[in-house]
Amino acid sequence: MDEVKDLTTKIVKNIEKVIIGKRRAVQLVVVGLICEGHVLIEDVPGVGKTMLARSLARSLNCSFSRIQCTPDMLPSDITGVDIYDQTSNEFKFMPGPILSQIVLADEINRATPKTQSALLEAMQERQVTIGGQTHLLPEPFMVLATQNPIEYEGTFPLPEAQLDRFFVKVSIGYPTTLEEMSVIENQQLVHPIESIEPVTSTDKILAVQRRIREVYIAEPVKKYIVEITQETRAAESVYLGASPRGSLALARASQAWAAMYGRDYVIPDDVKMLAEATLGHRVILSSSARLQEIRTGDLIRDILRDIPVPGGDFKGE
Amino acid sequence: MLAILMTYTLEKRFTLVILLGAGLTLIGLVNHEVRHKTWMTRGVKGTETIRERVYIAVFFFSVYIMSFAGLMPSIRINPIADRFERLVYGSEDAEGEEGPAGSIDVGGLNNELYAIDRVAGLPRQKLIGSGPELAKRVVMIVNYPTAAFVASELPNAARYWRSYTYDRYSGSGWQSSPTTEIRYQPGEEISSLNSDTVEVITQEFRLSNSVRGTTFSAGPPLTLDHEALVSWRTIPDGGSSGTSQPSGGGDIFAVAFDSIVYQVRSLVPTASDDQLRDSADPYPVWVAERYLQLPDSVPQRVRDLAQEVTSGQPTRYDQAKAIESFLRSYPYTLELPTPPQDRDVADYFLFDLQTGYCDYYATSMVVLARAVGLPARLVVGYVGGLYDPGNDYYLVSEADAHTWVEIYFSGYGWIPFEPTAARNLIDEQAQALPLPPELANLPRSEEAGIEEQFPYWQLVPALLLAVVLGWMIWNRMDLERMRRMDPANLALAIYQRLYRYGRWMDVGHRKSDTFFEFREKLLKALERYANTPRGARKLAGYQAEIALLTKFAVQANFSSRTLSSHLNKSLVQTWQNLRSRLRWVVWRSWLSTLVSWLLIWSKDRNRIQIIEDGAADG
Repeated sequence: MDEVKDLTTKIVKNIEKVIIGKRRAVQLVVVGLICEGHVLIEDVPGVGKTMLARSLARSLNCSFSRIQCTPDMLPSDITGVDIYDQTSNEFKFMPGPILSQIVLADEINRATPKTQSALLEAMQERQVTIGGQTHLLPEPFMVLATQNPIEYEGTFPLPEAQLDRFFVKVSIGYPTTLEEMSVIENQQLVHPIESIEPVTSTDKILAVQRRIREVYIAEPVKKYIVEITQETRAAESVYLGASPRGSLALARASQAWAAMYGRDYVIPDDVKMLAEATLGHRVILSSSARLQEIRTGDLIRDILRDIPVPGGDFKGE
Repeated sequence: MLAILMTYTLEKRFTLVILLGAGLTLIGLVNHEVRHKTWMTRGVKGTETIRERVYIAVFFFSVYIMSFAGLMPSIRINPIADRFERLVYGSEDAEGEEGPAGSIDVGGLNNELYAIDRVAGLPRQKLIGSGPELAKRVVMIVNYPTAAFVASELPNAARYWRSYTYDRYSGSGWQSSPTTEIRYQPGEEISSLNSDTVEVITQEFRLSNSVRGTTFSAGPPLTLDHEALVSWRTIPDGGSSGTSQPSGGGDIFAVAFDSIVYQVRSLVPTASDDQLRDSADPYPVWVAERYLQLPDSVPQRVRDLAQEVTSGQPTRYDQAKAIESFLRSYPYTLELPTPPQDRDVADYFLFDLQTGYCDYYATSMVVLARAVGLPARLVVGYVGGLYDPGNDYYLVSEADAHTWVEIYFSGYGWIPFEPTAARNLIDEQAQALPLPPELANLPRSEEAGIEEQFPYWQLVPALLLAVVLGWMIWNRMDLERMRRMDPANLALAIYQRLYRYGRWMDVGHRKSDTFFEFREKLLKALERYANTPRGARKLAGYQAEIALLTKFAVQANFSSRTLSSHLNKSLVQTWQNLRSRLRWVVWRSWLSTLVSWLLIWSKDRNRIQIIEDGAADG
């Protein structure tokens, strides 16, 4: 698993030249990448969501496109349209922004549900069908969608079923004082994104994506993962718990995390590390819990604190 | 099986220990065989490897139990209870004996044997200060080998076993005048037997260690079966046949030798009342000189009282009896305050207390008798005891300690009197008291000493040794077991122990903590101790050791690869090293907890003190 470790470390280091002090967020995005998943970045404007996506694309030497979602956007603005070409007398496919390898869908909750579902369908199927013609999306393919958690006016919150399609949810958060100072310093002359060089090729990414599936998950760890997911369904403050797709995502993400640290087996620490990112957005809190301002992150942390970890039947408190 | 072993090997402890070990080994092996058969029939696999381990465990366990049993002194609960009672109720050694003992020139070698006993102090804190358990303790066993019907045949005076007589009253206690020691061979006559008003009574004594060194006898001793040192206040002139030494024992202070089993023939007066009434000859010089003096501390009202009590009594004997019966009208009690230092004890008893115990009665009787011109002295010893008809002996306990009075009658010698109200008069025939059931059922000890000193000094190191030995054996077995483990299980077993140390060190880990999370907490806890130079030296390398153990525990649990058994040695070695470091930390943390508790406790106490002071001020 050392090649996975080397590659991911290189990518993370490269992105960190631009996104300063946010290793966890960067690592989670890389996890999404090598697990062939999509990432939902939920954060306030200006913390570097777009920069994160762009620097990832540049590091991987992939094509990149950006969709700025607005309420008047149509599905065809994403997928592309067939246009009648008068010279050749036939319809010609004009690919939309979705046909890039790394797609940034900015403020996805501003798009209408119709457009949202077109995007999410493309994400899930990894193909678009225009005028009876199916166009496969390029590989690797990854959507980074952002949404602003504080704005509700004129937004169309993503339905829960759609949220389930995102592999992980990442929030970046504000940098610390020192980090923010170095951000200013870094951008004084030229934006560091310009100096980012690709560190890998798409072939290598695809190889890594295959490789992490080989990471071993011991029975007790599998059980631990399932217990966590089941606990989200049983918890009192939850209206709807995580689906089996949640368990699957948690297991896969844990495999990726283990591989990123050069291990060929998953340990409970990996699971704990990724539970919030993979399950948090798959859980719907009950209205009373929401009124009490309980957040899904707190819920997952509580669950992790209560479930005994596999590893010897030790008798702790 | 143990019962049979006990029956046949009761005397030899060593054999018992060996047989115990063999028995335990046998039990362990047979048990395993039985279980093994069950496993065989049920088709349980992997039982062959267990056999070896079981054998080793059984062997070590048996050796441990054997050494423990061999090292432990046999314990009886009673002496421990006694010792405890004494601790709680005050020590026997804390007797407040008053009076200057240093003024007496004893001479000879054996004077330290009874140097303390020369002064019979008041009060007898020996009896008062100690609890009921002490009073019940048997101090001697007395039997009369020549008397056929002990209980009915003997005169009551034969049950007054004296140890010391005192002649000098100081106002606050009793002393003996200077004495001269003369050595007597076994069988040599100490007193003279020249009167027909004495009976020679043979007694056999078995003493407990608590009264060792003194000789007891009913009346003055005639002969002893051991070489003895007799302290004479007045040396008998011309040995045993001097005329100035009348019958009745002369002027012996005490007889000493260092044996706890002896036979004595002693002289018990048998003069009748009428004979004593006839005694009117002048007293010998040594009697008149010594036994009529009274200190200036005796106030006039005591002398007046003596005259009043004896007025109208025609003879010396009647006067003595009058004083005796007068004193017997005072009620008896053991619960008394210590008399004031500056008061005459007799005066204090006769006019203020008007109640007391034998020392007060006897002292007062001597003082009153001397005040009317009767030569009197104080006698200390034991009286009565419980007659055990089954063994034909008297069991004498500390509660039978007694003080009485002897008055000199010319021609008849020293005649005992009993002024203490709680006792029968000496000339009355005492009825044999039945034994209480708990004494009747006691095992009949044929040993010389009645009360063996319990070997506490043996118990403590033996226990310590047993604990240390057990601990060492356990450690060794534990490591040995670990070396034989499957490496995956070994890594986990080590972590189990690490968790235990974590609990002791209060690292505060939870069930939901992973190996790495626990490791972080443990490292953090250890860091505190590694900060000091001493801690850094003691703990050097703990991080690497914990890291290694954690790594293998994680691999063993979650990896698909199996660990190589070559790892065992290094894992056990690492654990051994780490364990010694952790032990140091655990001891240190417990110690500091103890210290902080003590600090808090003392602070609290101070605060309470301050609060109380404040309250008192308010």
